[in-house]
Amino acid sequence: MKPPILKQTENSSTDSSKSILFFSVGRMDFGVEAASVGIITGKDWVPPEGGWKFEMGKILGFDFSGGARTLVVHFPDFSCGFVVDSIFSQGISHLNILPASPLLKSWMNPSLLSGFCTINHRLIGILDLRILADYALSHNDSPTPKH
Amino acid sequence: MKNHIQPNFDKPSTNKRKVLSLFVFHDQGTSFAVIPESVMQVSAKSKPTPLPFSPDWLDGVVNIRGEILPVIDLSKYFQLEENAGEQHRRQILLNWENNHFIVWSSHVTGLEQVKATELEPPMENLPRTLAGKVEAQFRLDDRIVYVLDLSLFLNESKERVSS
Repeated sequence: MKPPILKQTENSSTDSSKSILFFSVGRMDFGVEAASVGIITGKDWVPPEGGWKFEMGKILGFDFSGGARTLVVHFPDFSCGFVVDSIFSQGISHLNILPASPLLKSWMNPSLLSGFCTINHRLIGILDLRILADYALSHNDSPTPKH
Repeated sequence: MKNHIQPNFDKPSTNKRKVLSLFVFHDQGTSFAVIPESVMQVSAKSKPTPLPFSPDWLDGVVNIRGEILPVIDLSKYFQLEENAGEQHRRQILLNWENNHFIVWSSHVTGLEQVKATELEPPMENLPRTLAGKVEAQFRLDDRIVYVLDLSLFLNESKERVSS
């Protein structure tokens, strides 16, 4: 029997492709690693006790448009939801991630983007939701409604 | 890579005949020069993708051959008066100690041969934001060209963002 070539490729350390969930916030588009998102639900999601609900547009400094969907993320120490405007119609795409260089990361504070994907000839930043959550929690003036 | 132009202002007699190659470009009314070894590519402009939580002088990123490259507006970084008549037309890809980044340019002169004796120390009345990042300056036609110290620029830019 031939070896499962596809599986070998997926396990290869040189394979930088990931399943990415794309969404819009304000006038910008972002992605997150789909594996980091628990569920996608409506904007009225209520966080569990000890959890948080973040309006991603406000964290990123955009005019908040009201939001439509909530990306629920379960971290080891707490759960939180990020309200976003809309999920891309393409849904989840399996794409190569182009890493952000150390220089680029040093020019962002906080350094929220772990890498980038190209979709429809556009570059889209991949957000690190944990860094985003930590940033929001550490800023008292950030609009982070608590349960 | 030869890292600095190493002008020797104290001992002009030792380098009188020395001629340096410098890559000259202009943006928003200000002229800059860098050592040619730091220039990887000059290309037509492409629209950068903006980034959250980035300073105003970082216009965003572009993808060149699979590498994500930050695009810097030097006029904004150095808070220089912008010349509304000049537009960004070119992108210069620079490499400094394996740090790859792009700067805008409205006009590229290219390589200029500059006699060491034509290099002057930076003016005392240099704009405050340029001070410390300019190794030397020289005159090209009726312009003053600032020779950038990319090492100091990169170090300061990181400190400026982190603070």
